[in-house]
Formats: sequence, structure tokens, C-alpha cells
Amino acid sequence: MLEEMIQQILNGCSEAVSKAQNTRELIEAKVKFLGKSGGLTMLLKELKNVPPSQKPAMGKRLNDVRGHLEEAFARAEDSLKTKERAQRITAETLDVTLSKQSTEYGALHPLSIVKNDIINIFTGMGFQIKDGPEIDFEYYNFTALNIPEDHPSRDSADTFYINDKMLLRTQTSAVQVHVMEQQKPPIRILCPGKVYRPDDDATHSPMFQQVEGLVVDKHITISDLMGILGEFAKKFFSSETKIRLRPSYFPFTEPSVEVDLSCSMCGGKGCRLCKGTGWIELLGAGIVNPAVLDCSGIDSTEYSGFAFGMGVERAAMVKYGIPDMRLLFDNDIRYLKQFR
Amino acid sequence: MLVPVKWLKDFVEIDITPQELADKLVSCGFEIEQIIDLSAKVTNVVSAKIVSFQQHPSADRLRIAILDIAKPELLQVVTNAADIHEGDIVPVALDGAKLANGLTIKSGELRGVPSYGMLCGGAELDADDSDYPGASKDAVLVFDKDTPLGINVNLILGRDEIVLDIGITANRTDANSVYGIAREVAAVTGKPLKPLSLDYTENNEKISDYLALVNQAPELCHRYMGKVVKNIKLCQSPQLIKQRLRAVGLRPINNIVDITNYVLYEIGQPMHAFDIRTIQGGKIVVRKAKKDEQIVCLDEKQYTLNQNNLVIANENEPMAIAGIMGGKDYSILPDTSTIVFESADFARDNVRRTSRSINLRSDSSARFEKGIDPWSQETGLSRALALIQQYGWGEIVNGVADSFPNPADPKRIVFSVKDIYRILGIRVPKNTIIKILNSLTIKTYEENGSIVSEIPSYREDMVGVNDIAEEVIRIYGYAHVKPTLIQDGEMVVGGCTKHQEYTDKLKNVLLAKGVCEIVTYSFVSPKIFDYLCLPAEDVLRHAIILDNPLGEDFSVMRTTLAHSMIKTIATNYLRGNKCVRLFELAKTYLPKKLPLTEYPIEKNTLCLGALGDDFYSFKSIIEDLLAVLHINFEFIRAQKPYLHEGRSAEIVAKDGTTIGYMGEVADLTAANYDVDKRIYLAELDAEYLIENAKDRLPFQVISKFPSVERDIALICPVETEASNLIRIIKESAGPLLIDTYVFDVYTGNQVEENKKSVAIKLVCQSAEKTLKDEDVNEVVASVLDALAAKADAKLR
Repeated sequence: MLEEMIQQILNGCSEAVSKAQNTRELIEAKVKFLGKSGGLTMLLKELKNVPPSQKPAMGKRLNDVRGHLEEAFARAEDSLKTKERAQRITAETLDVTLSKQSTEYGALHPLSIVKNDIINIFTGMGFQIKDGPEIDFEYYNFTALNIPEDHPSRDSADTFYINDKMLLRTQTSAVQVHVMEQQKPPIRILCPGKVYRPDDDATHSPMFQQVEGLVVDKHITISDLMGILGEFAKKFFSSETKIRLRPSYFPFTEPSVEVDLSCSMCGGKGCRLCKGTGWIELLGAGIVNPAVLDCSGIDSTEYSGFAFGMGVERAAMVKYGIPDMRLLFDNDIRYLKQFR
Repeated sequence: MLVPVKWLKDFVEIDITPQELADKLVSCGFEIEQIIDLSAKVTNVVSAKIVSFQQHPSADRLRIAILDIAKPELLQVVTNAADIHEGDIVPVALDGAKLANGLTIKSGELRGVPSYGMLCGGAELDADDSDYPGASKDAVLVFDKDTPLGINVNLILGRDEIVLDIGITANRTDANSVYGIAREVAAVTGKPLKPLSLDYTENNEKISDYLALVNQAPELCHRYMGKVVKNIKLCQSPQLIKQRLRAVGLRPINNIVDITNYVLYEIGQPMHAFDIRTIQGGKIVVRKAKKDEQIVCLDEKQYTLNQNNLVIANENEPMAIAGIMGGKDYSILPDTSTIVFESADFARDNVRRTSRSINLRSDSSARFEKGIDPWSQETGLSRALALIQQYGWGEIVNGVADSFPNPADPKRIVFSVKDIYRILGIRVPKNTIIKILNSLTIKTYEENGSIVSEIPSYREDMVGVNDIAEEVIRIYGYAHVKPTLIQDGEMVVGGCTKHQEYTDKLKNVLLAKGVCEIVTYSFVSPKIFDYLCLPAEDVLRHAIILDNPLGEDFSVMRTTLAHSMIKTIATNYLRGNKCVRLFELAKTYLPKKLPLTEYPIEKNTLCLGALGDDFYSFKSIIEDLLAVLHINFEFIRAQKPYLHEGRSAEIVAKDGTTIGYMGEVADLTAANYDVDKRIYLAELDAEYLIENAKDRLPFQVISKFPSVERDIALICPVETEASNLIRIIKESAGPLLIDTYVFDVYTGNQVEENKKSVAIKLVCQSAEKTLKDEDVNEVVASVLDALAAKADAKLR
């Protein structure tokens, strides 16, 4: 009688396991047969009616059955879970090529990027950053830089004036004098900033940015100038970049040089970018004119120095291949975002 | 400066190509703007003799010319030219020839008869009478009978010439002449410099019988020399002089005018010639002009002068504006027979100022403005007279009228090899230094163990040992320099300033918030103050005005970045960019007093702008920025003329400083920029942000006990500001409250009129224990009491 009921339970379980479509149905069935008030538990209660001689065997039998069924349910549950997970994954599969509109990362202006690059290279070589006024006295912009009264750069065609004495600085070189008036050598400074000249075309903007560098110390030479600027060129452009010095003229340096870069596009063979010369003009430099040192209260018999000035726009145009300087001031978001 | 290579060859042997010559000049400090081949304009046109003519079979006005071009075969050309004859030698453009007017000639048929070229007139060859007699006529050019056949017309016209366009730096006034460049070429190529031919003979007459000279303005006329030449033969200059003048862009006029121009280009000394008949009283007076004195110059315009202008006058009236232009009535005429050649040195800044003030420039004034050799007057004069005598154009009267009030002492620079090493950083051998300087005609020798350089008068730029070093290295070659990294310098500590560091940090926050950086001009139009609807007395209108702006739109230094930002957003909007977030970090220029006599405040300002945003997301950019910089602040309702009255606030730091404003641009302002969408704008004092920014707050250990959240929904008057509620809560909650914020605001049906519902989250936590319900209830109760008392807010 009991054995019959055991068989019924075994059959019932077997059927329930094979019929169960999901874990929920399976667990319901398990509760029905193995739960607190399930079939098998009921049979265990019947055990008290079994003659004592058969009790141990029957008890063992019921425990074996329970073990067997629990195992069967566990196996079935595992396989259903695997199946259900596979279904869920399929249902949750996304088109990973779709995108959602969100806040895009902003972009530094290319002039800031280039300026930062320049600053990082020179601060790494021990230069300090200095700032100076954009509206300055003509003394700092011209006179103290050894630029004579009748020099053409003082002309109103080349300088924005506010009145007889004050102007918009035409060169960050003006900061040199401010610094040298306040700081004694050794001086190793970099002065980035806006400067102004009345020009407006594809290669000139009435407002542009320069970075001025100044080194004053004992025994500073052209070789030092070449070494420092050569390192800069390698870091700013590429390790292949070479520099070339050409004699030039600036009133505040003597000797004065133009510094050319080997063309990054053709590697010096000659191309459209370098107009076939293999070299690109990048900056002006030179040994600080002793008159400028003396004018700023630094003894030119004891100290010497070199200075350089470069246009940030020009460097950006060379570095990024920007054809027209005016595009740097266009501020169309479609240009700006290219520099993220 | 244009320099024909053949002219250079008068003074220095050149055995390298023009390109090599150009490279050499670049290496020693002269920029080559262009290498111009004068023969490139007209190619493949040769001289041809007309052997015979035949009538064209089917066109009355056409003839078939059979030409001899010194080739085995004769050439057949169909022409409509009438005024030419058999035996004439004419220019013929062959198949593929390029003409001055841009035409390319091709063989073809004219009315059925093959034609293998075209006969040319002066116009097609870019030639006029000054190039070749008869070239100005509108007809086929006929060459001299002895012209060889089959040679390129460029040879006949003297166009087989290469001209270098050389950029000369402002310090090298001495190089502004053919001879000056020849001096450089000699030094850089190692060839000897040939002397100028300056010799001439004089007759027995005395100049004093012709001319007296008074220099009344020695400070403006450093030297004045006059020579008299009689029995002048006025004529055309020879081809060589005409061709050279044309090669440097000058028009030949007559031999006397041409000679002054020739000497100007060859030596760099401007000269002038007067007809002696016009020198009334036989006296040249160098003096300042009288007030409103007038003169009609060679350009036939009348100029009114003032007492700052220098003139060359006769006893009664000015004959020339010194160094700029001669008077029309004193110039050389066809019947001129005796002339006075002037060769002078006028003060360069006075020439410049006079030239600017009367708005008259000439080759001569340009040269004086650049500066000339204080000793070249004599050289120039001698060179002109030598040429006059060489060509037999006149008889030179003995003596010179000369005023040279203050001849400068010759300069000497004494230095050592070590001095040069200390500037260049490389050791240039002593002999090399001495050789280089001598090759530059700087007489250099050893004396008592030092090196001495005697500086020629034309090297005004050379004052000290640095100049010597430059001369040495530019010829020795910068390629010899070995790079070093400040080998003898003292160690210095570099790096970014705090300013730079926090500027970068500030920008990085903005980038992460999707804001792009812009750069706009510092100068704006004064009209922007109207666009921004600023009242007449607004302090922002007190802007610094440029004296010589590029135009009204760029004439005042901006006192706010607001305009540039709105304008940039408007431009983007107009181009279809509907969603933009921009920032600019730049200076505003705030004068302490106008007109400007001292430094203005140049205030670093951060401007933010957005299109396609809403008020609160725009505001969150600023909140995040200030949070990262660890600046405590609050937004306080405030008004700006160009902002929406209900959507604008000032940003006030905890120390009470107003650090900026933000808000929606008022519709009236936006309309001034043609934008019909909501623009958001903020301007912050970047100086304050950077000065007060902190890296981080002191480190805090987070309580290990759990926090408890409570939400309260309040009903309060509709105008109550969230910041007020939060302040009351913070003041009344006690130390267990660690955070509180508004998470919902509701007005509508569920809430009575003039009220709103505000949902606020309270977060409580203790560092000592796990909070119980009673603890939190206590906090909520005291918060609610305070809200009811101070803000008329009660639990919903």
C-alpha cells in the first residue's frame, strides 16, 4: 500500500519534472511533492502506522526516495535556469551600433592647445611663466627694447595707439623689460600672451598670440639658444625635426636670427607647405642686445642672455595644417570640435 | 630691393648659378623674396630678315612673308602688317612662343595658307621706345640693319637678365644698393670686391664763380655737396643704363635724370639736378620752409609747407623739398646747358615726417628714411660725374660747394677672440675672424694682443662686440654652431604658476561639461553697448578707445565678454549649429580713469554661453565648476540690462564677493543679434576663481554607521526660493543632518493657488551610532518647526 503510494509520487514527480516549462512551475511541483505538506511528507507521517519490524526498511526507503527526488528536481532546475537565461539574453540583445545623444566632451581652442604644448616643453626645461600687460607704455614696447624713435614699427600703420604714451603691445618682448626690472639673473622665463598689430589677411590677424622666451645668466651663447630651441622643435613637432639659424635683425637682439624648422611634411625635400625650400620659418631669436640689459638695470658686462619670440597662430597653422589664420578666429563649433 | 645679377658682376666675379647666389645671400642674412628671370615673359621670339613678300591668294590685306632666321630652311608667316619691307629685320614669334600679353603662338593656317609664326610689335614684347627705338609704335618692330638673325629678342632688348628681389633688414642700410650687395657677395663667396670707377677731370673754372652755398639748418642737413657741370648734352641714355633702370623697375627719362637714378641704385646715394638758370642769386640756401610756403613739385602737384620742413631754396623761393622731390620749375629742360648736381645727407626722421605730413613719397625719400651712409655723398657725386665724363655729356667745373658741419669720428671696436666665443659659444680661429671682417671691408688687424676693427662709415649698425660676433658668424656660417643646453648656467626652478595650474583645472572642468573654447578679438565696436541695452551711464560704457583702429568695429577695448559670446553664438546659430556650449577666458580692460594715463585693470574673465540648453543645466556647469574649485557660493536673484528679468542671478561667494552673474539673455538683446532662441550667458571673475581655488578640502573619514533618508513635502508660498528653505533647514537641523536638497517642485491642481509644493530630502547620519527612528524624527520635527516659523511652510 505504502509502496504503491511511493510509486505514485515517483511517477507524479517524473511527470511534473518533464512537464515543467519554467523554474516557477518546477518549484510549485517540488513543493507539491516534497514540501511541508507535500505528498512525500504525508507518507512519512504514515510511517507511524507501519509495523515496527518494517519501519527501519520503510524509513530508509522513504529517505532514499526523497534524496532521489531532490536530486532530480535540482537537475531539472539547473537545466531550466540555463534555458531561461539564454532566452533572456536573446530578448535583451541590443543593436550595439546605435548611440544615444549625450553631452559630448568639449574642446580646447587650438591656440590654447598649442600654447599649452609650448609652455609644457619650456617649463620642463626650467622656464617660469610670466604675464605682462597688454596695454602698455611705449617705453616698454619700444624704447627699452632699443627700438629707436624713428623706427618704422612705431608707425601708426604698425602699432595700435591709445594715446602718445600708451599702446596695445605689438610684441610679448615688452614683458622682458618688466621682468628684468624686478628679477635679477638667473632668469629663465616664458611669457605667452596676446599682442596686436594693424594687419588683417590670410596670414595676419590684428590680434594674435606670441610666446616670448628670455634667458639671462652668466655666459649665455648662441650655442645655448640653438640647443634650447632645437630641443623645443623636437618635442613640439617630432624627434626628426631639425632647426636652422639664419642671420636676421631685431633691435633688441644682437646677433639676431630667424629659426627655421625642417619641413614636417616633406622632411626637407621641398613641398608645397615649405614652398620648395625644405624649411619653414618659425620664430625670431637672438642674443639679448647689451643695451636692453643695461636699460633694465642688469650689468651687461657680467650677464648675457638670449631671447626668442614665436607666433602661436603660426605654430598652430604649421602643426595642424590650417590654411588661413582667420579660421582660428571663426569659432564655428564644427571647427572647434575637431580639436577634442 | 631689386638687384640685377649682371650689374653685380661689374663689381664682383660670380661663377655660381643665381639659385646658388640666392642661397649664399640667405645664409648671410638677406632674404630672397624672388628670383626673377626677365626673359621669362617673352619666349621663343627671334630676329628674322624678310626675304620676300607674296600676296595672299584669297585675302587682299594679308601678305605671306618669307623669313630668314639663320636656319637652313626659310620660314613662312602670314601677316597683315603694312609698314614693313623686304630686307627689314623684325621679331617673329615661333611656334610655341609666349608673348608679354599672355598669348601663346601656334602654327596654323590663315585663309588656307600655312603660317608658322607671328611678327611682333613692341606691345607683344612689353617694350617701348626706351627699350628700343620705334617700339612704342603700334606696328611691327623693325630692328637695326646690323642685328644678327635668329637670335632671341631678349638678347636684343637686354632682357637676358636675372634679377634678385632681396629683402634687406632695417639695420643694413648700407646694403640698399647694388654695390652694397656686391660687398656682401664678395665676402660670402670669397671673391675680391672691385672698386667703383670714380675718376673724372675738371676744367679750369672755379665753382665759386657759379654757385654759393649756405646751410642754415645743419641739424637737418648733415652734408650738402654741389658740383657744376656745363655744356650738358641732354639725350637718351645708352641701352645698358636704360636696361638696368628698367630691370629695377624705373622708367628711363633722359641721361641726366637716369644718371641720378643709376647712382641711387648703384651706391644708395640719392641725388638731384637743378638747372643753374633757376638758382636765382646764384645761391643755394638749405633752410627750413617758411609757414605756408608753397611749391609745385615734379609730380605737378602743389604742396604747402611748414617750418618743420626742410627745403633747398634759391635766394627767393624753395626749389625742392629736401630729399623728397624737386620743384617743377627748377628741373632739367631740353635747353638746359649748365646744371648743379646735389648730393646730400638729410636727417632721416625729418624726411620721414615731412613725407608723411605732405603725403608725398619718392625713391629718394624712401632711401633717406632707411638711412644713408654719412660719407657716400662724395662717392655718389664722383660716380655720377665719372659716368657723365665717360659718356661725354658735359664739362665738370673745378671745385665743390660743400657743407659738412659735423663729420662723425670713425668708430673702432677693440675685442678678443674670447669675447666672440662668449657670445657664439664656439671658438672661431683668430685668423678666420680677421679674414672675415676684412672681406666685409671692415679693416681689422691685431694690435697689442687685441683685435681692432675700424668700422666703415656705412656700417652705422655696428657699435659693439655683439655686432662683430654677428658679422663673423653670418659669414662663418651658423651651421658651425654646436647646440648646448645652457652649459654654464645656474640651476633654476621652473614650472607653472598657480595661475596657470588652476586655469588648466578650470578649463578641464568645462571640457568635461561639453563646453568648447573660443577666442575672439579684444576690441569691439562701441555699438555693442547699445546691443547689450546698457543704460547711458553704465560703467561698462567707460571703455578705452583706440586712436587708430582698423575700423569702428574694432575700436574700443572690451569691458565685457558678453557681446563677443552672444555674437559667436549667433554666428553658430545662423550657420545651423543649434546646440552649442562655449567659453572664453580672456581679459576685459577697465580703465581707472579716462583718458588713459596709467595701467588699466586687465581683468581675467571667464564667459560661458549656451544655445539649446535650459536654465538649470546651464547653471549646473557653473555649480560643478565652483564645486571642483572648492569655492562656496550662492546664486542670488539679480538683474542685468541684457538678461531676462526673471531668469538671472548673481553668483556670490561665501566671503560676500560677487564673482559673476548668469542668466538667460533677454529677448530684446537676443533680437539685436538676430537670435530667436534662448541663449544662456554667464560671466565670472576668473581672477577670483583662480586666486581662491583650493586643490581639495581637508580629508574626511566617512561614518561607518548607516545614513537615514527622510523626504518631506512642504507647502509654501509660490515665491519662496529653494535656497531660503535649504538655509532654514541647515540652520535648524542640528549636527545629524549631513545633506539636504530639493528634488521636486510642484504647482498645479493639487496645490492651492499662490502656493507650491516642494519635496526635500533630508539625509542624517551620526559618526557615533546607528540612528534610530526617534533620532531622525527629532531632526525632522525641529526642521518643520523652523520652516513653519520662518518660511510659512508646512508639511503637505
